[in-house]
Amino acid sequence: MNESDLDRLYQSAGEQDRTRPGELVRQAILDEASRIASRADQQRSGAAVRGAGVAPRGARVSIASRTFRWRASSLRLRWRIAVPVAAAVLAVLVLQPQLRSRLPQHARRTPEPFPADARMQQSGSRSESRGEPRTELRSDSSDALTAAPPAAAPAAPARRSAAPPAGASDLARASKRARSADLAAPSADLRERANAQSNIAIGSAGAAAARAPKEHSEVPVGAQTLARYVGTYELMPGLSIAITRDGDRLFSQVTDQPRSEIYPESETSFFSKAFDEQITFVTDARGVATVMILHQGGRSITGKRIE
Amino acid sequence: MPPVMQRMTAVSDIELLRRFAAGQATAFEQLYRRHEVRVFRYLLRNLRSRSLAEEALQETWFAVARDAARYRPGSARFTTWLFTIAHHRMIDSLRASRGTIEWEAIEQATEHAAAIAERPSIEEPYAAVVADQQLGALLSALEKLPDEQRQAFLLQQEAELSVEDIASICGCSFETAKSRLRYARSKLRELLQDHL
Repeated sequence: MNESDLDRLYQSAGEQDRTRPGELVRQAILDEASRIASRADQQRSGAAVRGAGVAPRGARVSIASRTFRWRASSLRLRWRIAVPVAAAVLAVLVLQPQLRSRLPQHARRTPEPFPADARMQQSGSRSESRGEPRTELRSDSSDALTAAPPAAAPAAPARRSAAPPAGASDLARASKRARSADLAAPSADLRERANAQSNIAIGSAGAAAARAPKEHSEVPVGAQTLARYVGTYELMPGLSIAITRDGDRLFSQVTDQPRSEIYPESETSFFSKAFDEQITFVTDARGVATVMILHQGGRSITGKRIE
Repeated sequence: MPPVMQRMTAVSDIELLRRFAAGQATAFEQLYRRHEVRVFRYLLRNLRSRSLAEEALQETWFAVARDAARYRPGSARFTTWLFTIAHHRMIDSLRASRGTIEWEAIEQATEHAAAIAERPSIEEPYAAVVADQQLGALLSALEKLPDEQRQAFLLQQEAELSVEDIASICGCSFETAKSRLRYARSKLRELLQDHL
């Protein structure tokens, strides 16, 4: 086998891969581009009209007069930009120390800097995208989804968070529906099968720091009660959560993940201090857990006890 | 029309971007359709979640549309610029998504398991099964690569970028990018031995 065999395999596999983005995503991108294009077009035609006002066609304007007008307008423009910018800078300088002193300690941390070359490559677009409103995707009664970005402002995509907003989950559902309608291919199935295992990740130190856990109050629960929950619960084939006990402490461990302590907030409900997740155990008549329900980010999944 | 002729008669990416910046929306659509699949595959194979990949794709093209007027042809090839934006969106998305369960993956895997159980395998045409297996093996092998190596390999395959461009996008030295590519290819060859 040689180098080109691998390239050939990649290319031929790529041809088999019928994966495409959903039609809604494509439409949202093209709509946004249309808005930007029409704005650019309007600006150009507006500039042409203003230009015609300054120097009407056929009007005789001396070079000196034209130069003077250009300088005057250029100076006005500079002042129009310079004054608000200077005011803003001054306001930031004055207000920053006061604001910083009011912030709680954890909020004062400097965010992780983005690599300098990455910032350069992005041409400043990253900061702009953060401030934009998101694309709202709503489901109507006919089960069709419509993208309704605001007319004046450019649409921005829904961003995933610990508790996904309705729009984000709708987008996922919409993508799924679009895919099943026009993009269903056996290759997609295989891809998902190959990916399913590694797709599941619960928790990391960085993520834990970024997501502030909800307020929970810990209650004392006896070691005997804790022992009833010890076991392995299968969330899906290949993904399970092992519950272990160490004295009067209970731990949860997802497949291939480090274990994490969970704390009781009732006889059957536990929470994690490291992650935004709760676990509820469902017990049988003898009080032994048969099922667990994992709650994370507003979603729940049930795991049946297998060991 | 043969591909070579198509390429010769096609309007260049830069020209399409220029036309879009001048207010021609159809030029953007043409540009988007030309690169849609490759960018999406790059994002999907790195993020391993369809919804995250679609989100990153959307953000990437929004940025392209917004900054089209600022793009200077001399600074970088359009493909390099496009994949640079896509790469940074992908990294952002990876950082943001770590620490959460991929609910979509769970749901899809469950649906997939149900679909397999219902589908009589004898009805599958043999060629399609082989092709599927090949694609499945490739995707599975890509999964096993470390993130940086996978990113470098996918940038080379999907964007047809040079080692220099890959180094610039990934923010590493030329030598590092080169060695990431070498390791990635060697590992993939090893994993895909039966399919090569």
